[in-house]
Amino acid sequence: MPAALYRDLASFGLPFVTPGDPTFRSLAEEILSGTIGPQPDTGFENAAVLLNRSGKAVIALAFI
Amino acid sequence: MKSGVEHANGCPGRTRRARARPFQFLPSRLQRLITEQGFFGDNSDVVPAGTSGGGGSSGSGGGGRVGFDGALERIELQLDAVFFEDGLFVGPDELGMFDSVTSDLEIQRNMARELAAALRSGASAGVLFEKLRPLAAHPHPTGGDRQTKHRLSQLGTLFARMAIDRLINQTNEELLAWFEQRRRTLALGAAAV
Repeated sequence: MPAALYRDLASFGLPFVTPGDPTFRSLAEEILSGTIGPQPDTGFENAAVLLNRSGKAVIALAFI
Repeated sequence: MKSGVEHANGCPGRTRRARARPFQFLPSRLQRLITEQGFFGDNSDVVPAGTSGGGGSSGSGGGGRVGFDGALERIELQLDAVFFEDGLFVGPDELGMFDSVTSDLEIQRNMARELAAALRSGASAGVLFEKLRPLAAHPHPTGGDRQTKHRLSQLGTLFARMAIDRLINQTNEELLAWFEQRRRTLALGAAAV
């Protein structure tokens, strides 16, 4: 399994919660439980949960 | 293999602010699951107050570095760009989202002005629909910039679909008021900070 490198914008209140974090799985499952439509059919190895702790709404975002 | 998180402290790449009258968005509680298959999560925090349609735009992707033998050596996930409700824009912006979004907002502003004028001149719903239809269509990626254009050109589509919904369900007076509001609130002027 290749190493995963995550680059978030935590200093602007937008941290990633990654699979190594103990809260990751519960957050991922919480998100998916409220999602209508297709669900990811692969594991969470290279996934991340993005949190918004900025106190502001996000209009648009992009990731690569 | 070890994985890690790099937190962008201080100023990661470019940080810019777009001067804009704030949009009417609900308080934030963004929470998204990002996987190799895209984004998952509801849109409740980016939907403009008082509407039932969507209100945000997001790009998706996923990066991987491939070695000479074709094996994936490393996977990177980078939050590239974020537009906040107050116009603050942060992130390295390797995809060129700032220009794309400001361009889209200008298109919306011009379209709202044109539609308001047409409505005042007595244009029919059919005429307004024909003006909106090209913008409401799914973006068709073209050329080598395919991925970026496909990801970042959703705000115009969103605006046009919201307008069509209102065209169907609202009175001309309500529609005119909405176009006027969009014309005013979507004016942006970018400035470096």
